[in-house]
Amino acid sequence: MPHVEVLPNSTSVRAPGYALVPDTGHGTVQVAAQQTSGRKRAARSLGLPGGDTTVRQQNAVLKHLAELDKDSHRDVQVPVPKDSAGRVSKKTTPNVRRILMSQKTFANHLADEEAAIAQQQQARQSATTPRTKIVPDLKRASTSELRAIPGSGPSQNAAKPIGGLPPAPNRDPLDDDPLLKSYVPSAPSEEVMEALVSGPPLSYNAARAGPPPAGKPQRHFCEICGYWGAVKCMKCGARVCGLECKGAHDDGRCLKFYA
Amino acid sequence: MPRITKPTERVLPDQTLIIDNGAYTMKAGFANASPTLDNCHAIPNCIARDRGRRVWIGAQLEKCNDFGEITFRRPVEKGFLVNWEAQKAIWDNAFIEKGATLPCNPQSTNLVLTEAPNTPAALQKNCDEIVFEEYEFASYSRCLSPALNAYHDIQSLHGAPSRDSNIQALPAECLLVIDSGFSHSTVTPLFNGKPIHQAIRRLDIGGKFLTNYLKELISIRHYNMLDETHLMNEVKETICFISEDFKRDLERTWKGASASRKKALDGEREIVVDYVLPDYNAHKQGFMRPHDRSPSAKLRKMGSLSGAGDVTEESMTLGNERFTVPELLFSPGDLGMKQEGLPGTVLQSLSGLPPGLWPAMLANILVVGGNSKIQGFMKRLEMEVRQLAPAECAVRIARAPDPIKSAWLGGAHLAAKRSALKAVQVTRQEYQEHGSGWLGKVFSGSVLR
Repeated sequence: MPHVEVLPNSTSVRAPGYALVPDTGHGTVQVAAQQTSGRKRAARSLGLPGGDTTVRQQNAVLKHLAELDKDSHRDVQVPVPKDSAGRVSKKTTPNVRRILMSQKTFANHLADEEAAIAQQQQARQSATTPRTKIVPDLKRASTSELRAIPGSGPSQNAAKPIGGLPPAPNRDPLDDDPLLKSYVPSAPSEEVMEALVSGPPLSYNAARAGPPPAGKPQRHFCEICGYWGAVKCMKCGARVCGLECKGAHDDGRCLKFYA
Repeated sequence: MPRITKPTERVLPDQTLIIDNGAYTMKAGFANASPTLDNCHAIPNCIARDRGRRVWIGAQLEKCNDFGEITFRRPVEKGFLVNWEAQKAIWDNAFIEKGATLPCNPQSTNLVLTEAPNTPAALQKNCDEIVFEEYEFASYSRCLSPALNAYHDIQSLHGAPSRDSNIQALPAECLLVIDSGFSHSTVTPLFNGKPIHQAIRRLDIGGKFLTNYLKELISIRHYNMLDETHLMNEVKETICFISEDFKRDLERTWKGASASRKKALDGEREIVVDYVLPDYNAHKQGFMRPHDRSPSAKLRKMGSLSGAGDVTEESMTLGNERFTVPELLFSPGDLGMKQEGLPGTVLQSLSGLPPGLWPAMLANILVVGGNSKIQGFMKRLEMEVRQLAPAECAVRIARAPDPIKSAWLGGAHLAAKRSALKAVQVTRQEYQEHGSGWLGKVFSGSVLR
């Protein structure tokens, strides 16, 4: 099978109207597409047995979160009033015209940014000669890398007395007790700080806070009254607190009528 | 290797406009020698259309008194300035047109504009081009909104004596800014006023998210409020508080609690309240009042629903909505969001820094942004950060005196010092000489001037 590779092109022109989107393979769309055959079984089997994490429920959660992040419940178009939009007294430059006419949303810009980063990474992987331009690393540097910078870690400076003072003559014998020792490391050197401050910004997705450490179970609440959701609806998996709220759930909010 | 261009003497005009361009409000005003919060105007950053199909732009919204079913168009999306068509209309209304709040002639004005952390480069470029090519400001600098907070007297917030006014523009050496705003909450470590980009973290929950969640809960439990975003925002600001003991408060508000249990949990501040909805026809504002449990009150409510009698007010009884909604800032997992709460985000941000900086950062935390005004927010945040932080480090958390206008005031302190301002501003002439690509590099720090 022939191996196809996109070579980095220095004179690439961004065409308007579409964006290259990196295919990460973990998107909602893909997950949804997997359900086309044997839907129920697939949806159930992918999640942990007995858990709340079937694919269908994950999708519902993602959809709900996206819904809550929207500006308004409906899609509304509020046009800019004509008397202020049409009032162009002086000549506008092509740049300004392009920006003002642009109907791109943040999702479009984000997709563009992700595509650019993916392309940069591809370029870096395929580049074998060092004469290619070094692209700034938009991914997070791991803490271990930062610790590897000399002078930043606690171990290097631990031996040096802080501030150049001679050690106090009469030391308490308990000072060396490992249980009582203070482990606050000394401040990093100026070069380290300079490197930190001049680092490139992260991409939008890289700066998102990560998930909490595993082990803390998710809390569930009754979707009707907000009390602890101790009972799970057998049809749709929603949580309710008791019989009274289960009735209200069945009356209007159960997602599945036939199951 | 940074490229060094020929140093030129920059001449800046006297007037400086500072705009902290937020998603909900735009904080704008002119700097002077000793700026105060009164110099700052918080202008709604939106174009709104009410149910009479009348359109209101920015500051005009103050005159609007019917917020029923009002819809908003916001140029700032998820914290980033995306739609310049709308933003230009709002800026024109606020600065250029007749009767503007802050009339200004851009050609003889310096502009200090803020942006959210991690803005995509394409949006930054758009912003630069509009500022210089459309508005033609004399000089301009674009900086991170949290970064401007470093120009405050941070130590006095922690109880230290206030510093000498002669050293006003010195940025704080180490500062960790928690900015919980309308679109999201960010944690930004600053060193000498410069952001440490690798360690900036963002929690995708802001005031908008909380409002929408409250709207959803009330629509399930009381009235359909799906089109009443503005009202829900008001309700949220009035009633929400952050619980110190979530489990206990949830038990206290349970509808099925038996009489004996209620007695055991009573005797403290009552959580359940009534919110009386506003009447836009009679120009009545909505307000909160303690819940009346007596049967006569219940009858009155039934009577008002059936339209009998002279009582025309409508109210809804709110219990656990009051604290489960802002609780999301501390445990987003309650809705299945795969992110850690605000205290955890602080620790994630610290993990991107060398451990030697942790003590200094943890001892100098500044909280800004509208969400920090929620009752109980500071106490809970301090408690949880204290629990997560290493035991050796002291944790000091302070809220800015005005958390919403804090970044603006910091920018005004910066602009008050001419030499500091001169160091960051780029003049229009330089832009015309070097172009927008160069300008982007100047603001990101990879080109020194």
